[in-house]
Amino acid sequence: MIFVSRECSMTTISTLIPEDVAQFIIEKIDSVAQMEALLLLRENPQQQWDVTAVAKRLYIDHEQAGKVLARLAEEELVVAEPSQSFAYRYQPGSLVLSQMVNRVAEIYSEQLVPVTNLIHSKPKSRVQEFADAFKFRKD
Amino acid sequence: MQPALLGAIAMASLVAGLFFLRFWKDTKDRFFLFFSISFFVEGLNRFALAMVSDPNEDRPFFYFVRFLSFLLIVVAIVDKNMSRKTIRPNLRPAASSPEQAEAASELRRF
Amino acid sequence: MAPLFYALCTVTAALCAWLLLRGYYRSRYKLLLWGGLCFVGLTVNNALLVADKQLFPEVDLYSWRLVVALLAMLVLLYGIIWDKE
Repeated sequence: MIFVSRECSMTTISTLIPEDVAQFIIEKIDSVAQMEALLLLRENPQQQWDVTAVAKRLYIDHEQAGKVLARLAEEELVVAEPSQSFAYRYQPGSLVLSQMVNRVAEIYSEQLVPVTNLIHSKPKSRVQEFADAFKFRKD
Repeated sequence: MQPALLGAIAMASLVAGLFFLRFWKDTKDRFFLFFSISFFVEGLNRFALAMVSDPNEDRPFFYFVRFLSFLLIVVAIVDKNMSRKTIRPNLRPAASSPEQAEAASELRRF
Repeated sequence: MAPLFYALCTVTAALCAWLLLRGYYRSRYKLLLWGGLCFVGLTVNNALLVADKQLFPEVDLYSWRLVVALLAMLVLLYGIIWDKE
């Protein structure tokens, strides 16, 4: 179990995020905007969202929305629809991913502050991945 | 032309070393420190080759220093793979109760 | 002795190239691509150094080896400087 106790303001010290959910968030979610975008698309899996619509719903600018959706597509959580450019739909790449996102959504709704603290505790740049590439086995 | 090329390579290596130094400062991962020193050493090696009137790479000094710079990279890789951590350091908890202390010691397995 | 040491350098550079390009294949993080290509260049640079003595007259290859090494370093610097992530 991962503890996120120090940065939590008044929430109880015993707040817990399951380890695998935390690992998923660390690896795949870089910002709260990205989390919100993922959950927004998940709410209506049949619906296509274009960048402008997502930007409007999440109150972020167009460029950031574009980056966030592209990153989600990179992680195989959403797909870019070939029929329209810049339109995305919720479609996780596997059943395991889909189940994980469901759990993440549940944990996020129950424990917003610990999850956002976890996201914000990540470093801003991906340069750590350069060093991680030299691990022989993918952890 | 060769001294110019050597100088350019030396400069590029030194700059790369500086960038890796910054990555080390940002991430606190000593992997980048090893890489930084490696590129600094290789930069100095190229510079030395440029300064010498007979830049013969067969000479022990030059091949040994080159080997040293790559050895540092090997050390970086070995060190990276020997480390047991899978969870990033800034997530380690400050245990403040007996149950948490017990659970935290479980975490240290990783 | 020199060829042995340079051969070890070649192997190390090749290992780095492989690890970085494998990482790029998995994550698509561009810096890994540029880093990988840099080490490909350094592998070629060191391999040519080993081969140079045996196969070709020294003078012909020297400048080309340096050009390869310089290009490899420029690719790495390009990748680092333009890294937006």
